[in-house]
Amino acid sequence: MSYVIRKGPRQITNIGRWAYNLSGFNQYGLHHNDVLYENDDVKEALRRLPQQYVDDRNYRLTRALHLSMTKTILPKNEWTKYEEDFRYLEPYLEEVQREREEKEEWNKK
Amino acid sequence: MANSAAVSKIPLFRTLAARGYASQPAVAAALKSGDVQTTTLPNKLVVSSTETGSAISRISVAFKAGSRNETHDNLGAAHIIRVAAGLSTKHASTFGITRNVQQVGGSLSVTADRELLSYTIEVTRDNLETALQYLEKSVTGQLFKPWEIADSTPRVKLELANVSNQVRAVELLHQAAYRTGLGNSLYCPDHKVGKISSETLQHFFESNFTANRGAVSGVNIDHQMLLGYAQSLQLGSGEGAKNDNKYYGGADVRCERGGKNASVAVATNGAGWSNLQEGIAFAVLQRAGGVGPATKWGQSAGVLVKAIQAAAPNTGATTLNASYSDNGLFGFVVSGPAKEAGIAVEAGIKTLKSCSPSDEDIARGKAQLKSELAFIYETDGSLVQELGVQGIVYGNTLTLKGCFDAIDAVQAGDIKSAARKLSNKVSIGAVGNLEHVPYAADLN
Repeated sequence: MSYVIRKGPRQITNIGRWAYNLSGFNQYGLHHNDVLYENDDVKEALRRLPQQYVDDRNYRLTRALHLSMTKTILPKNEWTKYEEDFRYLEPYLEEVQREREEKEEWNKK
Repeated sequence: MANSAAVSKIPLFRTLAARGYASQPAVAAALKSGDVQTTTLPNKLVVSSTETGSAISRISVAFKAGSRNETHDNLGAAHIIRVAAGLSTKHASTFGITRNVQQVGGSLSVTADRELLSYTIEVTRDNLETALQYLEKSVTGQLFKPWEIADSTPRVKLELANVSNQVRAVELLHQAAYRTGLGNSLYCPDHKVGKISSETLQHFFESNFTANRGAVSGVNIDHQMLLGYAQSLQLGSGEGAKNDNKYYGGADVRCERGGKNASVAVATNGAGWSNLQEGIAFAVLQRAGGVGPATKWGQSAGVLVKAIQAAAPNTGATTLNASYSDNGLFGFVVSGPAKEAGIAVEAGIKTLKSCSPSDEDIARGKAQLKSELAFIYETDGSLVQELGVQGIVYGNTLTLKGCFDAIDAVQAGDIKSAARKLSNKVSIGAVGNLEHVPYAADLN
Protein backbone atom coordinates (compact mmCIF):
# COMPACT_ATOMS: atom_id res chain seq x y z
CA MET A 1 0.00 0.00 0.00
CA SER A 2 1.53 3.27 -0.94
CA TYR A 3 0.22 6.72 -0.35
CA VAL A 4 2.16 9.25 -2.37
CA ILE A 5 2.26 12.54 -0.55
CA ARG A 6 2.50 15.65 -2.64
CA LYS A 7 4.64 18.67 -1.85
CA GLY A 8 3.43 22.01 -3.14
CA PRO A 9 0.42 22.69 -5.35
CA ARG A 10 -0.46 20.63 -8.42
CA GLN A 11 0.34 23.62 -10.62
CA ILE A 12 2.49 26.51 -9.54
CA THR A 13 0.86 29.78 -10.59
CA ASN A 14 1.45 33.38 -9.59
CA ILE A 15 -2.15 33.89 -8.59
CA GLY A 16 -1.93 30.74 -6.48
CA ARG A 17 1.15 32.05 -4.73
CA TRP A 18 -0.52 35.40 -4.12
CA ALA A 19 -3.61 33.74 -2.62
CA TYR A 20 -1.51 31.37 -0.53
CA ASN A 21 0.54 34.16 0.98
CA LEU A 22 -2.53 36.31 1.50
CA SER A 23 -4.28 33.62 3.55
CA GLY A 24 -1.59 34.03 6.18
CA PHE A 25 -1.59 30.63 7.92
CA ASN A 26 1.89 30.02 6.52
CA GLN A 27 3.19 32.82 8.72
CA TYR A 28 2.39 30.61 11.73
CA GLY A 29 4.37 27.79 10.10
CA LEU A 30 1.19 25.88 9.25
CA HIS A 31 0.51 23.90 6.10
CA HIS A 32 -2.73 23.91 4.12
CA ASN A 33 -3.75 20.48 5.47
CA ASP A 34 -3.35 21.77 9.05
CA VAL A 35 -6.14 24.29 8.68
CA LEU A 36 -8.85 22.17 7.09
CA TYR A 37 -12.23 22.40 8.78
CA GLU A 38 -12.55 19.17 10.76
CA ASN A 39 -15.67 17.67 9.28
CA ASP A 40 -16.38 13.92 9.50
CA ASP A 41 -14.23 13.14 6.47
CA VAL A 42 -11.23 14.99 7.85
CA LYS A 43 -11.69 13.40 11.27
CA GLU A 44 -11.72 9.94 9.70
CA ALA A 45 -8.68 10.76 7.55
CA LEU A 46 -6.83 11.99 10.66
CA ARG A 47 -7.65 8.72 12.42
CA ARG A 48 -5.99 6.84 9.56
CA LEU A 49 -2.96 9.09 9.33
CA PRO A 50 0.32 7.47 10.42
CA GLN A 51 1.41 8.61 13.87
CA GLN A 52 4.51 10.51 12.72
CA TYR A 53 2.37 12.87 10.60
CA VAL A 54 -0.11 13.32 13.43
CA ASP A 55 2.72 14.26 15.78
CA ASP A 56 4.16 16.80 13.31
CA ARG A 57 0.72 18.28 12.77
CA ASN A 58 0.07 18.59 16.48
CA TYR A 59 3.42 20.27 16.97
CA ARG A 60 2.67 22.84 14.27
CA LEU A 61 -0.82 23.49 15.64
CA THR A 62 0.47 23.95 19.18
CA ARG A 63 3.15 26.31 17.96
CA ALA A 64 0.58 28.29 15.96
CA LEU A 65 -1.70 28.60 18.98
CA HIS A 66 1.21 29.81 21.05
CA LEU A 67 2.16 32.39 18.41
CA SER A 68 -1.44 33.54 18.18
CA MET A 69 -1.64 33.89 21.94
CA THR A 70 1.50 36.00 22.05
CA LYS A 71 0.26 37.99 19.01
CA THR A 72 3.45 37.26 17.04
CA ILE A 73 4.35 35.41 13.88
CA LEU A 74 7.40 33.36 12.92
CA PRO A 75 10.44 35.09 11.38
CA LYS A 76 9.98 35.24 7.62
CA ASN A 77 12.53 32.53 6.82
CA GLU A 78 10.44 30.03 8.80
CA TRP A 79 7.18 30.74 6.97
CA THR A 80 5.82 27.82 4.99
CA LYS A 81 6.63 28.35 1.33
CA TYR A 82 3.98 27.99 -1.35
CA GLU A 83 6.12 25.38 -3.17
CA GLU A 84 6.80 23.40 0.00
CA ASP A 85 3.28 23.09 1.33
CA PHE A 86 3.05 19.47 2.47
CA ARG A 87 -0.25 17.78 1.58
CA TYR A 88 0.12 14.88 4.03
CA LEU A 89 -3.60 14.38 4.59
CA GLU A 90 -4.68 14.54 0.97
CA PRO A 91 -4.38 10.86 -0.09
CA TYR A 92 -6.14 9.70 3.08
CA LEU A 93 -8.83 12.33 2.77
CA GLU A 94 -9.45 11.50 -0.87
CA GLU A 95 -9.84 7.85 0.01
CA VAL A 96 -12.33 8.66 2.77
CA GLN A 97 -14.28 10.84 0.34
CA ARG A 98 -14.31 8.12 -2.31
CA GLU A 99 -15.63 5.64 0.24
CA ARG A 100 -18.34 8.07 1.35
CA GLU A 101 -19.37 8.75 -2.23
CA GLU A 102 -19.59 5.02 -2.89
CA LYS A 103 -21.93 4.67 0.09
CA GLU A 104 -24.04 7.62 -1.04
CA GLU A 105 -24.25 6.17 -4.53
CA TRP A 106 -25.58 2.89 -3.11
CA ASN A 107 -28.03 4.60 -0.78
CA LYS A 108 -29.63 6.44 -3.71
CA LYS A 109 -30.77 3.14 -5.18
CA MET B 1 -15.05 2.27 -6.53
CA ALA B 2 -18.21 3.07 -8.38
CA ASN B 3 -20.40 0.08 -8.89
CA SER B 4 -21.54 0.94 -12.38
CA ALA B 5 -17.95 1.16 -13.60
CA ALA B 6 -17.16 -2.23 -12.11
CA VAL B 7 -20.07 -3.97 -13.78
CA SER B 8 -19.15 -2.74 -17.22
CA LYS B 9 -15.76 -4.45 -16.92
CA ILE B 10 -17.25 -7.94 -17.12
CA PRO B 11 -15.96 -9.63 -20.24
CA LEU B 12 -18.82 -10.26 -22.60
CA PHE B 13 -18.26 -13.97 -23.06
CA ARG B 14 -18.33 -14.58 -19.32
CA THR B 15 -21.65 -12.78 -19.03
CA LEU B 16 -23.04 -14.90 -21.81
CA ALA B 17 -21.75 -18.08 -20.22
CA ALA B 18 -23.38 -17.16 -16.92
CA ARG B 19 -26.71 -16.32 -18.54
CA GLY B 20 -26.77 -19.37 -20.74
CA TYR B 21 -25.98 -21.49 -17.75
CA ALA B 22 -28.58 -19.93 -15.51
CA SER B 23 -31.39 -20.66 -17.90
CA GLN B 24 -30.85 -24.43 -17.90
CA PRO B 25 -29.24 -25.53 -14.67
CA ALA B 26 -31.23 -28.66 -13.91
CA VAL B 27 -30.53 -30.39 -17.22
CA ALA B 28 -26.78 -29.99 -17.05
CA ALA B 29 -26.81 -31.03 -13.42
CA ALA B 30 -28.67 -34.27 -13.96
CA LEU B 31 -26.20 -35.37 -16.61
CA LYS B 32 -23.04 -35.63 -14.61
CA SER B 33 -23.90 -35.50 -10.94
CA GLY B 34 -21.09 -36.81 -8.76
CA ASP B 35 -18.30 -36.46 -11.30
CA VAL B 36 -15.36 -34.34 -10.24
CA GLN B 37 -13.32 -32.63 -12.92
CA THR B 38 -9.81 -31.52 -12.02
CA THR B 39 -7.35 -29.50 -14.05
CA THR B 40 -3.96 -28.21 -13.05
CA LEU B 41 -3.10 -24.92 -14.70
CA PRO B 42 0.41 -24.17 -16.01
CA ASN B 43 1.00 -21.99 -12.94
CA LYS B 44 0.18 -25.06 -10.75
CA LEU B 45 -3.14 -23.75 -9.53
CA VAL B 46 -5.44 -26.76 -9.10
CA VAL B 47 -8.96 -26.23 -10.38
CA SER B 48 -11.71 -28.72 -9.61
CA SER B 49 -15.44 -28.65 -9.99
CA THR B 50 -18.49 -30.84 -9.64
CA GLU B 51 -22.24 -30.73 -10.10
CA THR B 52 -24.82 -31.61 -7.48
CA GLY B 53 -27.91 -30.12 -9.10
CA SER B 54 -28.52 -27.57 -6.35
CA ALA B 55 -29.65 -24.02 -7.16
CA ILE B 56 -26.74 -22.57 -5.22
CA SER B 57 -23.24 -22.32 -6.62
CA ARG B 58 -20.31 -22.40 -4.27
CA ILE B 59 -16.80 -21.40 -5.21
CA SER B 60 -13.82 -21.62 -2.96
CA VAL B 61 -10.30 -20.27 -3.39
CA ALA B 62 -7.80 -21.83 -0.99
CA PHE B 63 -4.13 -21.31 -0.29
CA LYS B 64 -1.49 -23.05 1.79
CA ALA B 65 -1.47 -20.14 4.18
CA GLY B 66 -2.59 -21.71 7.43
CA SER B 67 -0.94 -21.13 10.77
CA ARG B 68 1.75 -23.77 10.17
CA ASN B 69 3.35 -21.37 7.69
CA GLU B 70 3.97 -18.76 10.35
CA THR B 71 7.41 -18.14 11.76
CA HIS B 72 8.21 -16.76 15.18
CA ASP B 73 8.20 -13.24 13.72
CA ASN B 74 4.72 -13.39 12.26
CA LEU B 75 3.01 -15.69 14.73
CA GLY B 76 -0.73 -15.09 14.60
CA ALA B 77 -0.71 -13.67 11.05
CA ALA B 78 -2.97 -16.42 9.69
CA HIS B 79 -5.60 -15.64 12.33
CA ILE B 80 -5.51 -11.91 11.58
CA ILE B 81 -5.68 -12.53 7.83
CA ARG B 82 -8.73 -14.73 8.39
CA VAL B 83 -10.38 -11.97 10.39
CA ALA B 84 -9.39 -9.45 7.72
CA ALA B 85 -11.35 -11.26 5.01
CA GLY B 86 -13.63 -8.86 3.19
CA LEU B 87 -11.70 -5.75 4.22
CA SER B 88 -10.52 -3.26 1.61
CA THR B 89 -8.22 -4.57 -1.08
CA LYS B 90 -6.57 -2.93 -4.07
CA HIS B 91 -9.71 -3.61 -6.07
CA ALA B 92 -12.63 -2.87 -3.75
CA SER B 93 -13.51 -1.23 -0.46
CA THR B 94 -14.95 -3.10 2.54
CA PHE B 95 -18.29 -1.49 1.89
CA GLY B 96 -18.19 -2.34 -1.80
CA ILE B 97 -17.46 -6.00 -1.17
CA THR B 98 -20.10 -6.34 1.54
CA ARG B 99 -22.82 -4.44 -0.27
CA ASN B 100 -22.34 -6.04 -3.67
CA VAL B 101 -22.29 -9.55 -2.24
CA GLN B 102 -25.35 -8.78 -0.11
CA GLN B 103 -27.18 -7.29 -3.08
CA VAL B 104 -27.12 -10.61 -4.92
CA GLY B 105 -27.94 -12.55 -1.75
CA GLY B 106 -24.52 -14.11 -1.58
CA SER B 107 -22.40 -15.04 1.36
CA LEU B 108 -18.63 -14.72 1.58
CA SER B 109 -16.86 -16.69 4.26
CA VAL B 110 -13.36 -17.75 5.14
CA THR B 111 -12.16 -20.87 6.91
CA ALA B 112 -8.73 -21.45 8.36
CA ASP B 113 -6.92 -24.48 9.63
CA ARG B 114 -3.29 -25.26 10.21
CA GLU B 115 -2.70 -25.92 6.50
CA LEU B 116 -5.07 -23.72 4.55
CA LEU B 117 -6.96 -20.49 4.37
CA SER B 118 -9.96 -20.83 2.09
CA TYR B 119 -12.34 -18.16 0.88
CA THR B 120 -15.78 -19.37 -0.15
CA ILE B 121 -18.62 -17.59 -1.82
CA GLU B 122 -22.15 -18.97 -2.04
CA VAL B 123 -24.73 -17.53 -4.39
CA THR B 124 -27.66 -18.50 -6.60
CA ARG B 125 -26.59 -19.61 -10.07
CA ASP B 126 -27.94 -16.58 -11.91
CA ASN B 127 -25.82 -14.20 -9.83
CA LEU B 128 -22.62 -16.15 -10.20
CA GLU B 129 -20.91 -13.44 -12.23
CA THR B 130 -21.10 -10.76 -9.53
CA ALA B 131 -20.16 -13.24 -6.84
CA LEU B 132 -17.05 -14.44 -8.69
CA GLN B 133 -16.03 -10.88 -9.32
CA TYR B 134 -16.17 -9.96 -5.63
CA LEU B 135 -14.54 -13.20 -4.54
CA GLU B 136 -11.63 -12.25 -6.76
CA LYS B 137 -11.60 -8.68 -5.48
CA SER B 138 -11.49 -9.77 -1.86
CA VAL B 139 -8.91 -12.55 -2.25
CA THR B 140 -6.36 -10.96 -4.57
CA GLY B 141 -4.52 -7.73 -3.88
CA GLN B 142 -5.19 -7.72 -0.14
CA LEU B 143 -3.90 -4.59 1.54
CA PHE B 144 -4.50 -4.84 5.31
CA LYS B 145 -5.00 -1.14 5.90
CA PRO B 146 -3.67 -0.43 9.39
CA TRP B 147 -6.85 1.28 10.64
CA GLU B 148 -9.06 -1.56 9.43
CA ILE B 149 -6.81 -4.12 11.07
CA ALA B 150 -6.87 -2.07 14.28
CA ASP B 151 -10.67 -1.89 14.09
CA SER B 152 -10.91 -5.68 13.94
CA THR B 153 -8.77 -6.22 17.06
CA PRO B 154 -11.83 -6.46 19.37
CA ARG B 155 -13.13 -9.32 17.23
CA VAL B 156 -9.81 -11.15 17.58
CA LYS B 157 -9.99 -10.66 21.35
CA LEU B 158 -13.55 -11.99 21.40
CA GLU B 159 -12.56 -15.07 19.41
CA LEU B 160 -9.66 -15.72 21.77
CA ALA B 161 -11.95 -15.39 24.78
CA ASN B 162 -14.38 -17.86 23.23
CA VAL B 163 -11.88 -20.65 22.70
CA SER B 164 -13.08 -23.61 24.74
CA ASN B 165 -10.76 -25.48 27.10
CA GLN B 166 -10.91 -28.61 24.95
CA VAL B 167 -9.79 -26.70 21.87
CA ARG B 168 -7.13 -24.91 23.89
CA ALA B 169 -5.84 -28.29 25.10
CA VAL B 170 -5.51 -29.51 21.49
CA GLU B 171 -3.68 -26.29 20.58
CA LEU B 172 -1.25 -26.81 23.46
CA LEU B 173 -0.82 -30.44 22.42
CA HIS B 174 0.30 -29.30 18.96
CA GLN B 175 2.74 -26.89 20.53
CA ALA B 176 4.17 -29.65 22.71
CA ALA B 177 4.31 -32.16 19.88
CA TYR B 178 5.75 -29.99 17.10
CA ARG B 179 7.17 -26.88 18.85
CA THR B 180 7.19 -24.79 15.62
CA GLY B 181 5.50 -25.10 12.23
CA LEU B 182 2.59 -27.44 12.86
CA GLY B 183 2.91 -26.49 16.51
CA ASN B 184 1.71 -22.95 15.81
CA SER B 185 -1.71 -22.27 17.22
CA LEU B 186 -4.65 -21.51 14.97
CA TYR B 187 -5.21 -18.51 17.19
CA CYS B 188 -3.12 -15.40 17.48
CA PRO B 189 -1.10 -15.52 20.72
CA ASP B 190 -2.39 -13.06 23.36
CA HIS B 191 0.81 -11.06 23.36
CA LYS B 192 0.59 -10.45 19.59
CA VAL B 193 -2.99 -9.18 19.50
CA GLY B 194 -3.03 -5.70 17.98
CA LYS B 195 0.73 -5.82 17.44
CA ILE B 196 0.98 -7.52 14.06
CA SER B 197 1.77 -4.76 11.61
CA SER B 198 0.23 -4.25 8.24
CA GLU B 199 3.63 -4.89 6.62
CA THR B 200 4.00 -8.25 8.38
CA LEU B 201 0.58 -9.32 7.12
CA GLN B 202 1.40 -8.06 3.66
CA HIS B 203 4.59 -10.10 3.58
CA PHE B 204 2.81 -13.25 4.78
CA PHE B 205 0.16 -12.68 2.13
CA GLU B 206 2.62 -12.07 -0.72
CA SER B 207 4.71 -15.13 0.07
CA ASN B 208 1.91 -17.62 0.70
CA PHE B 209 -1.04 -16.61 -1.47
CA THR B 210 0.67 -17.77 -4.65
CA ALA B 211 -0.64 -19.81 -7.57
CA ASN B 212 1.49 -22.88 -6.85
CA ARG B 213 0.16 -22.98 -3.27
CA GLY B 214 -3.45 -22.54 -4.26
CA ALA B 215 -6.57 -24.33 -5.44
CA VAL B 216 -9.87 -23.16 -6.85
CA SER B 217 -12.84 -25.43 -6.37
CA GLY B 218 -16.45 -25.05 -7.40
CA VAL B 219 -19.72 -26.83 -6.87
CA ASN B 220 -22.45 -26.24 -9.45
CA ILE B 221 -20.33 -24.20 -11.79
CA ASP B 222 -19.30 -25.09 -15.32
CA HIS B 223 -15.75 -26.40 -15.35
CA GLN B 224 -14.68 -24.31 -18.36
CA MET B 225 -16.07 -21.18 -16.76
CA LEU B 226 -14.24 -21.94 -13.52
CA LEU B 227 -11.03 -22.58 -15.46
CA GLY B 228 -11.37 -19.22 -17.19
CA TYR B 229 -11.93 -17.60 -13.82
CA ALA B 230 -8.94 -19.33 -12.23
CA GLN B 231 -6.72 -18.27 -15.10
CA SER B 232 -7.77 -14.67 -14.75
CA LEU B 233 -6.88 -14.51 -11.03
CA GLN B 234 -3.92 -12.24 -10.48
CA LEU B 235 -1.79 -14.41 -8.24
CA GLY B 236 1.88 -14.16 -7.43
CA SER B 237 4.37 -16.97 -7.66
CA GLY B 238 7.05 -18.20 -5.32
CA GLU B 239 7.89 -21.07 -3.05
CA GLY B 240 6.37 -19.59 0.09
CA ALA B 241 7.02 -20.74 3.61
CA LYS B 242 8.60 -24.08 4.33
CA ASN B 243 7.81 -25.40 7.71
CA ASP B 244 8.69 -27.95 10.30
CA ASN B 245 6.76 -31.11 10.90
CA LYS B 246 9.11 -33.05 13.15
CA TYR B 247 7.33 -34.79 15.99
CA TYR B 248 8.85 -34.43 19.45
CA GLY B 249 7.52 -36.95 21.95
CA GLY B 250 7.54 -36.74 25.71
CA ALA B 251 6.79 -33.04 26.03
CA ASP B 252 3.90 -31.29 27.67
CA VAL B 253 2.53 -27.78 27.63
CA ARG B 254 0.31 -27.07 30.59
CA CYS B 255 -1.89 -24.10 31.28
CA GLU B 256 -2.99 -24.08 34.91
CA ARG B 257 -6.25 -22.19 35.30
CA GLY B 258 -7.72 -23.57 38.50
CA GLY B 259 -11.42 -24.38 38.71
CA LYS B 260 -12.95 -27.81 39.04
CA ASN B 261 -12.37 -29.25 35.58
CA ALA B 262 -9.48 -30.30 33.44
CA SER B 263 -9.21 -30.79 29.68
CA VAL B 264 -6.32 -32.88 28.51
CA ALA B 265 -5.24 -33.75 24.98
CA VAL B 266 -2.79 -36.62 24.64
CA ALA B 267 -1.29 -37.84 21.38
CA THR B 268 1.54 -39.69 19.80
CA ASN B 269 2.80 -39.57 16.23
CA GLY B 270 0.12 -40.51 13.68
CA ALA B 271 0.23 -40.16 9.93
CA GLY B 272 -0.22 -37.47 7.32
CA TRP B 273 -1.96 -37.61 3.97
CA SER B 274 1.30 -37.95 2.03
CA ASN B 275 0.71 -41.68 2.32
CA LEU B 276 -2.98 -42.05 1.53
CA GLN B 277 -3.22 -45.63 2.75
CA GLU B 278 -1.64 -44.84 6.09
CA GLY B 279 -3.76 -41.70 6.41
CA ILE B 280 -6.92 -43.74 5.90
CA ALA B 281 -5.69 -46.43 8.30
CA PHE B 282 -5.40 -43.83 11.08
CA ALA B 283 -8.76 -42.30 10.16
CA VAL B 284 -10.38 -45.74 10.48
CA LEU B 285 -8.49 -46.33 13.71
CA GLN B 286 -9.88 -43.08 15.08
CA ARG B 287 -13.45 -44.25 14.49
CA ALA B 288 -12.55 -47.63 15.97
CA GLY B 289 -11.29 -45.79 19.03
CA GLY B 290 -14.56 -43.85 19.26
CA VAL B 291 -15.52 -40.31 18.29
CA GLY B 292 -18.50 -39.61 20.49
CA PRO B 293 -21.96 -41.11 20.38
CA ALA B 294 -23.75 -41.56 17.06
CA THR B 295 -27.17 -41.30 18.69
CA LYS B 296 -28.56 -38.70 21.05
CA TRP B 297 -27.90 -39.64 24.70
CA GLY B 298 -26.11 -42.71 23.32
CA GLN B 299 -22.69 -44.02 24.17
CA SER B 300 -19.66 -44.32 22.00
CA ALA B 301 -18.90 -47.88 20.95
CA GLY B 302 -15.17 -47.18 20.47
CA VAL B 303 -12.56 -49.13 22.40
CA LEU B 304 -10.55 -46.16 23.57
CA VAL B 305 -13.52 -44.13 24.73
CA LYS B 306 -15.00 -47.16 26.51
CA ALA B 307 -11.73 -47.85 28.32
CA ILE B 308 -11.44 -44.23 29.48
CA GLN B 309 -15.03 -44.02 30.62
CA ALA B 310 -14.79 -47.34 32.46
CA ALA B 311 -11.92 -45.90 34.51
CA ALA B 312 -13.33 -42.39 34.85
CA PRO B 313 -17.12 -42.50 34.47
CA ASN B 314 -17.74 -38.73 34.71
CA THR B 315 -15.23 -37.84 32.02
CA GLY B 316 -16.03 -37.12 28.40
CA ALA B 317 -13.60 -38.56 25.89
CA THR B 318 -13.03 -38.69 22.17
CA THR B 319 -10.32 -40.09 19.95
CA LEU B 320 -8.17 -37.49 18.27
CA ASN B 321 -6.70 -37.91 14.81
CA ALA B 322 -5.17 -34.80 13.33
CA SER B 323 -3.75 -35.63 9.91
CA TYR B 324 -1.89 -32.97 7.98
CA SER B 325 -0.25 -33.13 4.58
CA ASP B 326 3.01 -34.59 5.86
CA ASN B 327 2.52 -35.67 9.47
CA GLY B 328 -0.17 -36.24 12.01
CA LEU B 329 -1.13 -36.77 15.63
CA PHE B 330 -3.14 -39.63 17.02
CA GLY B 331 -4.45 -39.78 20.57
CA PHE B 332 -7.41 -38.67 22.60
CA VAL B 333 -8.97 -35.70 24.36
CA VAL B 334 -10.53 -36.05 27.78
CA SER B 335 -12.47 -33.44 29.66
CA GLY B 336 -14.04 -33.73 33.06
CA PRO B 337 -13.61 -33.30 36.80
CA ALA B 338 -10.04 -32.52 37.82
CA LYS B 339 -9.96 -35.46 40.23
CA GLU B 340 -10.66 -37.96 37.47
CA ALA B 341 -8.32 -36.45 34.90
CA GLY B 342 -5.27 -38.41 36.04
CA ILE B 343 -7.06 -41.77 35.97
CA ALA B 344 -8.62 -40.98 32.61
CA VAL B 345 -5.30 -40.02 31.01
CA GLU B 346 -3.53 -43.10 32.36
CA ALA B 347 -6.32 -45.41 31.20
CA GLY B 348 -6.30 -43.76 27.78
CA ILE B 349 -2.54 -44.06 27.33
CA LYS B 350 -2.61 -47.69 28.45
CA THR B 351 -5.24 -48.49 25.81
CA LEU B 352 -3.43 -46.41 23.18
CA LYS B 353 -0.14 -48.24 23.66
CA SER B 354 -1.65 -51.71 23.66
CA CYS B 355 -4.17 -50.89 20.96
CA SER B 356 -5.18 -53.87 18.86
CA PRO B 357 -8.58 -53.29 17.28
CA SER B 358 -10.75 -56.32 16.56
CA ASP B 359 -12.14 -56.99 13.09
CA GLU B 360 -15.50 -55.79 14.35
CA ASP B 361 -13.98 -52.47 15.45
CA ILE B 362 -12.31 -52.06 12.08
CA ALA B 363 -15.53 -52.77 10.20
CA ARG B 364 -17.36 -50.23 12.36
CA GLY B 365 -14.54 -47.72 11.85
CA LYS B 366 -14.69 -48.09 8.09
CA ALA B 367 -18.47 -47.78 8.03
CA GLN B 368 -18.36 -44.63 10.17
CA LEU B 369 -15.62 -43.07 8.06
CA LYS B 370 -17.60 -43.78 4.89
CA SER B 371 -20.77 -42.27 6.28
CA GLU B 372 -18.91 -39.18 7.47
CA LEU B 373 -17.39 -38.73 4.02
CA ALA B 374 -20.78 -39.26 2.41
CA PHE B 375 -22.19 -36.50 4.60
CA ILE B 376 -19.35 -34.20 3.53
CA TYR B 377 -20.01 -34.94 -0.14
CA GLU B 378 -23.76 -34.59 0.37
CA THR B 379 -23.47 -31.05 1.67
CA ASP B 380 -22.31 -28.59 -0.98
CA GLY B 381 -20.81 -26.24 1.61
CA SER B 382 -18.45 -28.87 2.95
CA LEU B 383 -17.90 -30.47 -0.46
CA VAL B 384 -16.49 -27.30 -2.00
CA GLN B 385 -13.99 -27.02 0.83
CA GLU B 386 -13.13 -30.71 0.69
CA LEU B 387 -12.32 -30.38 -3.02
CA GLY B 388 -10.05 -27.43 -2.25
CA VAL B 389 -8.24 -29.37 0.47
CA GLN B 390 -7.79 -32.39 -1.75
CA GLY B 391 -6.61 -30.21 -4.62
CA ILE B 392 -3.90 -28.64 -2.50
CA VAL B 393 -2.85 -31.65 -0.46
CA TYR B 394 -2.82 -34.31 -3.23
CA GLY B 395 -2.96 -32.10 -6.32
CA ASN B 396 -5.95 -34.18 -7.36
CA THR B 397 -9.52 -34.81 -6.24
CA LEU B 398 -11.53 -37.94 -5.59
CA THR B 399 -15.18 -38.67 -6.16
CA LEU B 400 -17.12 -40.16 -3.29
CA LYS B 401 -16.86 -43.54 -4.95
CA GLY B 402 -13.10 -43.02 -5.28
CA CYS B 403 -12.95 -42.34 -1.52
CA PHE B 404 -14.96 -45.48 -0.76
CA ASP B 405 -12.68 -47.56 -3.00
CA ALA B 406 -9.61 -46.13 -1.26
CA ILE B 407 -11.10 -47.03 2.15
CA ASP B 408 -11.96 -50.55 1.01
CA ALA B 409 -8.43 -50.98 -0.30
CA VAL B 410 -7.04 -50.54 3.21
CA GLN B 411 -6.80 -53.97 4.80
CA ALA B 412 -7.28 -54.91 8.43
CA GLY B 413 -3.56 -55.70 8.56
CA ASP B 414 -2.68 -52.09 7.55
CA ILE B 415 -4.86 -50.77 10.34
CA LYS B 416 -3.36 -53.12 12.89
CA SER B 417 0.16 -52.13 11.85
CA ALA B 418 -0.87 -48.47 12.19
CA ALA B 419 -2.11 -49.28 15.70
CA ARG B 420 1.26 -50.79 16.61
CA LYS B 421 2.95 -47.45 15.82
CA LEU B 422 1.09 -45.87 18.71
CA SER B 423 3.64 -47.09 21.23
CA ASN B 424 5.74 -43.96 20.51
CA LYS B 425 6.27 -41.36 23.21
CA VAL B 426 3.18 -39.26 23.92
CA SER B 427 2.88 -35.49 24.19
CA ILE B 428 0.33 -33.73 26.36
CA GLY B 429 -1.52 -30.44 26.26
CA ALA B 430 -3.59 -29.63 29.33
CA VAL B 431 -5.81 -26.75 30.50
CA GLY B 432 -7.75 -26.21 33.71
CA ASN B 433 -7.15 -27.62 37.17
CA LEU B 434 -4.07 -29.75 36.57
CA GLU B 435 -3.52 -31.14 40.06
CA HIS B 436 -3.98 -34.74 38.96
CA VAL B 437 -2.85 -34.51 35.35
CA PRO B 438 0.31 -36.59 34.88
CA TYR B 439 3.45 -35.27 33.16
CA ALA B 440 4.45 -36.70 29.78
CA ALA B 441 7.98 -37.41 31.05
CA ASP B 442 6.59 -39.72 33.76
CA LEU B 443 4.41 -41.63 31.32
CA ASN B 444 6.92 -42.50 28.62
